[in-house]
Amino acid sequence: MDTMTIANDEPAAGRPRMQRARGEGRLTTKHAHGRTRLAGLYQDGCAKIRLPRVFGDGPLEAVLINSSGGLTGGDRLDWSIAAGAETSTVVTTQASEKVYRASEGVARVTTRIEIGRDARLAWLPQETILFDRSALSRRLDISLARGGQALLVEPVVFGRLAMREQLRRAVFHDRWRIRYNGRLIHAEDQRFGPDIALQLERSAMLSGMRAMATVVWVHPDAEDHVERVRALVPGCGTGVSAWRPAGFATGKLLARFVAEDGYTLRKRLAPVLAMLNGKAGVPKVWSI
Amino acid sequence: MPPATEPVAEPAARVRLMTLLSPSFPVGAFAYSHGVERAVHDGLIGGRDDLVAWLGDLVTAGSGWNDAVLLRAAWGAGDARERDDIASLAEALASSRERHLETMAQGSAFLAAARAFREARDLRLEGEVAYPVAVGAVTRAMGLACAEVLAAYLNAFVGTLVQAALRTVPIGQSDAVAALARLEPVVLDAAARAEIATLDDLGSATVVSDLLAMTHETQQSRLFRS
Repeated sequence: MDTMTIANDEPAAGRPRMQRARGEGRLTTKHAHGRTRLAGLYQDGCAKIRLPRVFGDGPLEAVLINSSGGLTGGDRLDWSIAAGAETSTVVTTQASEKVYRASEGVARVTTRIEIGRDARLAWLPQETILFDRSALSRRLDISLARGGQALLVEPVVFGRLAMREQLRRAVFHDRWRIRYNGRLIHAEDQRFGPDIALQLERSAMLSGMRAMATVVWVHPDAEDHVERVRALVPGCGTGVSAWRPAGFATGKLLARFVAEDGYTLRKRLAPVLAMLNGKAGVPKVWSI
Repeated sequence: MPPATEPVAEPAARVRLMTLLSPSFPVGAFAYSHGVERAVHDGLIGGRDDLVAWLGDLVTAGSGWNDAVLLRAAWGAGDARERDDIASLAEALASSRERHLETMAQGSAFLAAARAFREARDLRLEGEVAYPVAVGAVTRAMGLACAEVLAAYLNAFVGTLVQAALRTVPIGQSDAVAALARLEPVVLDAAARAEIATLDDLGSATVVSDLLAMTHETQQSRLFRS
């Protein structure tokens, strides 16, 4: 096991870290006596999991923590969540994930989520912030059993405007594969870089915006919610669509956001996430 | 899946490709703008230069590129099962309800129309299949070279969208042809890259284009289905 180093919070001072951060966290939940309970927890390396709200009738809330303080080339983080049948789980992260300059290699993050029969899970991490010369490859694999429901979001911020950080060259690849009852119901493949400064300005790409998010909601009532979600986020910068692909016993709602910065993005996302997650609610970090 | 039939002699292959990917092949391509109509409405495409930049980005690093990668994979699929997996992936990647309709309706229409040719009938591929997967499977069965199919497909992709723009942007026929001329090297370069690509190379950066394909659904007056 590598010795962990705590990444410097100041990217300008960030020296290449020769040690690579590794982390693996696994969480399993189960349904018992009308409640969602913890069934298993494993954490290794820089991956930590906190459960601030295990008791009560609400969903089980899990907070994922990367204790290495950020990601850089060669780092590897693997999360795995198994939500048992009829459970309700909300997962978020303790802080935004900063992806620092990579001296060599790519930071890799994988997340595997299994959602049991009639279970619901919300994956609501905070922003991923990409710094100049960072390289991140991420994979999100979700598998829903019949009757399962999922609300997923990934906000991404391209440098921090307030800190006058400029993103010139960086590589970012985000791949999502979502299966329902064994069949692929949705896929996302976003890929930016290496000339990211140019891409951020292109009108078909980010049109000068510095933050974006994708929301996917796998739910039988997805199509009925389109107008209500649109009403929450009027104006440009948000697109909402929903449909039921042939042969699926559920629908999907898809929303895309672009915004000038992470704060504006969060303000527009929060009410949408709160509405779509209904009674399960959103973690404190998402209630604005 | 049976091995590709003997490569068709060159002029015959060219003619076949021109037929399959011509604007008059009945897939209804003229009905879809892929979000271009919305981008014009929002002022992001105001003229020829904007149009060339927009379509070039789609082909280089956006939904057009993903189509090319999916076509390449479908063309090279080892068996029907692998092809079906690629078809599922292509459908799942559709980035809005109208984009889903655009690719599924054209794919199905392509398969139905291609049945005029024996190779397509022998393929036994029917029903709802995303457009690039349908084109990849049929052209492989016909023994058409993948490199040429990719170039023709991407050329048809930009050709369709230039025609869509012609009906919504104040540009004339000569601008439209000039746009196609400027996009020619972009199309050829993307096709060459796609020929050696695998599904690992999927990836799009055209977020605003995808977003506008969604807001097109609420556009009050519209000529196109996407």
